[in-house]
Amino acid sequence: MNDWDPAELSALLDGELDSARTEKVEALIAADPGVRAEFERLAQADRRLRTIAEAALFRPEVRWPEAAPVPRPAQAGFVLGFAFILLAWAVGKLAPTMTASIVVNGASLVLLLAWLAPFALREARSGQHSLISTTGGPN
Amino acid sequence: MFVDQDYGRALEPLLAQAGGYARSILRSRADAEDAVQLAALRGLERLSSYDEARPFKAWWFAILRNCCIDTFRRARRHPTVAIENDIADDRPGDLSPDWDALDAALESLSDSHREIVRLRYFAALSYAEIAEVLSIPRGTVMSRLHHARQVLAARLQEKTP
Repeated sequence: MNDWDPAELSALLDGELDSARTEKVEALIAADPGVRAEFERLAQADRRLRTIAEAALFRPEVRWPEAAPVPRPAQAGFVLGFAFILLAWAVGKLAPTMTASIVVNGASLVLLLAWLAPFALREARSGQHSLISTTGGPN
Repeated sequence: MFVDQDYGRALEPLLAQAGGYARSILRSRADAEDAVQLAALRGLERLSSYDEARPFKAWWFAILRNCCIDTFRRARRHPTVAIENDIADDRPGDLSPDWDALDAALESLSDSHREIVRLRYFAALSYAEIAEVLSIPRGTVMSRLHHARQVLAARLQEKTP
């Protein structure tokens, strides 16, 4: 039986041969004492390396980055509602010119914030990181 | 689409092997922890470049391997006082790896053969995954690993007359 590669003995140890090759190489090991002795030598080396590797195993803790807090819609709604009530109260108390000024400035501020919000959200979601200790996974 | 949470979940079962693999290169448990931490964050940064058609384990261990090399070089540039058998290894219930035995076994191997032994035994990668990490054919992995075992087997035989 010459149609085999001696490196297949190692592959057999590692379970890396398909079933057809496994059968062939196992038959060869059974039939040829020289091949069997070589396989045993390799298996011994394999056991030695496994013993060393198993002693080196340990599980490190990974500290995942904490994503920057993303504004919650509920909070934003609460703030807008409160601002509306405040504005309604101010309209009843202040002079018409002052009221108009507050409304114009308020509307400008809202428009500016609406324009900036998508940038801020994108930045927040990309995760500006400060490290925290956790094992579960990134936020 | 692989998102951050998937990444954390995929990494979780690899951490023990990652610790062992990094330790086999760096020999210090503390340095190995640093290298794994660095690799975890570097992988997260590069997640968008990960091709899901390729094995995740091989992709991430390639990153870890580079982080170990970086950590090793940094440690050589800024050496600290060496404590025999790294004090960080002295933890309750922690087995101390027989590095002398490993060195004795692998000293006559080339770097490329040693690397394959580390990836196979410490990282527990398959031939296909090792081939992916090192960008070499699977057949080369098989023949190099076989050669490494032959050398180790010969050394073991020398020791037991």
